[in-house]
Amino acid sequence: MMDEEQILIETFGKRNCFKVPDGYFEQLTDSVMAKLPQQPQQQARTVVMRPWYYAAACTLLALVMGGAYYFHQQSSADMVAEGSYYEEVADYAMIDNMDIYACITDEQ
Amino acid sequence: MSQKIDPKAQRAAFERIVREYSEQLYWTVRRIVLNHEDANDVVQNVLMKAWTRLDSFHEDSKMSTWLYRIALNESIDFMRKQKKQQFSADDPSAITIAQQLMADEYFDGTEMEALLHEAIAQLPDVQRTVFNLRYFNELKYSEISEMLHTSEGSLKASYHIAVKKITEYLKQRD
Repeated sequence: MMDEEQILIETFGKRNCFKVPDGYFEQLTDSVMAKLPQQPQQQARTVVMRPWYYAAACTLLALVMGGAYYFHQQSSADMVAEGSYYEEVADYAMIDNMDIYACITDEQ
Repeated sequence: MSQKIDPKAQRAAFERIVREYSEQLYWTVRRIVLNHEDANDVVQNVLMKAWTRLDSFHEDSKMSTWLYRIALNESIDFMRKQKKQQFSADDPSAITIAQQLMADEYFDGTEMEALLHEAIAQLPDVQRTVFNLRYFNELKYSEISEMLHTSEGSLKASYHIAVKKITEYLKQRD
């Protein structure tokens, strides 16, 4: 033990020289309980998804993305197919691009 | 997710905690803030916070340690707010802490004891807290370390410095 600490203890002691009003501690508990809200506030909890929820969510997402890609490809294919149809028609009719353009614009 | 607890049972359990710990919490706070009305306010805040944060008590420390931790944080916060509101130390009309204590109807000590508390009150907040817990509460450094999340080495150094400062202050006032 430090000498200075020992001197403090010998000179001043460690007595509790504070007082409280009569009956303070007897009423403290009741006073505190009367002020408490009905229930402790619930802290925000992190919801942990079960593994199979997580797997199902991933599968659904993959399906949606796959479907979106497929339909996008399909519409592109349709556009290509449509273009090649006109080319076949043009070949069959033995008309060239200028004639097709003239037909479309109705200049003939 | 945590299981649902019966609110009545939870309240009853908390009431038992308040009955068991409120007095020791009060005296720890009182030695820091010195005034009964302030100590009463702080302790009530401590117990309200303990109630609202009951979910955060994880039983990896003792209930008393958890409560003390809240109490010490509240006491330190209170002292910091109080310092902002106090008059300047250069104010000639300001009365000393020892004089305030001697005039306090809820102080039963001698002038020497009042002077000791005045010397303690000059310390920085955390050092003052460490001194009170070690000197008056006679807590082990390991227990204080858990409450304040500070290493035992730092606490020993803090206490040693606190004792020296108090001794110097008392010599100057002699």
